[in-house]
Amino acid sequence: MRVTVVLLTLLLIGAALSAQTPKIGIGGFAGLSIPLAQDDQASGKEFGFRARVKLSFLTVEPNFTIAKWGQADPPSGSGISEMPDGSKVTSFGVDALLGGAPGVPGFKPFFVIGGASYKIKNDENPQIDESALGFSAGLGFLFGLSPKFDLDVRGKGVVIPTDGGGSKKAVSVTAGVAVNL
Amino acid sequence: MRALKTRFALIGLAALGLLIAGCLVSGTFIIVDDFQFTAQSGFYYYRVDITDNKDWQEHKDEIDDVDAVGAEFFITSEEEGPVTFSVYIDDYTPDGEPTPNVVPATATVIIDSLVVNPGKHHMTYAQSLKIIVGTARLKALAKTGRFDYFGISSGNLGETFRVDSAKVICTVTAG
Repeated sequence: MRVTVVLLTLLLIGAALSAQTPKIGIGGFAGLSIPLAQDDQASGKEFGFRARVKLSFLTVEPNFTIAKWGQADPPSGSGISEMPDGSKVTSFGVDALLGGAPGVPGFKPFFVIGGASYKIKNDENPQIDESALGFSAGLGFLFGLSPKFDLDVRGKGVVIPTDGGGSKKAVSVTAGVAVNL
Repeated sequence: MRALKTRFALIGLAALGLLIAGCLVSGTFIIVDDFQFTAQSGFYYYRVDITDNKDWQEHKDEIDDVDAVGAEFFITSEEEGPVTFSVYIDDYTPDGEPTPNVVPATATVIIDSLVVNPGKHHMTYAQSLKIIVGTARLKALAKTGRFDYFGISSGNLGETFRVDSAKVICTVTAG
């Protein structure tokens, strides 16, 4: 799965380099990952890196993200004394942005949709160790501080399918800075 | 170009809609079954049944995965030396069938020869997850909501080894 994502990324970058006036950037971000409807996980930190390639009408972003969910409270009435620590989610994927316009000063809202290879692992629970292709979608904005720098704020819903046909879901809220090369 | 942008935006909005709709009908739930026992003669049998749990009842027809199965124990051993404690699981014995008095050959060990020293002990859910083996069968049985549980101890006599409180904890994903 990761090989597929890498090939797709290289293909997109190649297309961008051959397109008219490509804009390329790199950036980092950090924020919160909030598991949805998961009794065994709590909110945790998230951080990552992304590259940015501006195509004719959309921007493509290969990215790498690490999220560490927190230790959940035991469900009320369960009598469980302590829950295991939260899971770690690493992903390697590609997002596509409609809007945003990197390198242009000012407020620039965008819509984002993406796919990634996700790995969910829990150091305290060997029974949780899964890899899957998942997808995400959300909204955000860039704030162009100068032609070289953009502030990036976004919120995304993430869906990671699991083996038996279910899925893990989370909301990711991050802020970061992108440098336009 | 405008049509392409619109199409892209519609796909994105549809994905967001699916995500929101999915969140409303699926999730990961924790289901707990409580029991306690005194390992007289070094043998204990219990029928785990989580099918009457509220969350199980609500999602029983949509359970996709059993993410994890663990346990929590409060143990008191009044022995002078260590007691060795093992746990096995097997298919649920239907109502009306004779109660097993030995561990069947078809049973699978999930806690293998845990050494318990004299005194009071608390094994947390997280600690149990690190020592549980045979998880494939355990998850398969847990997905049915019912299974037989056998506790075996050696090195103890009479009522000197008690599991004061035990929980079987199942984490399931239902869609």
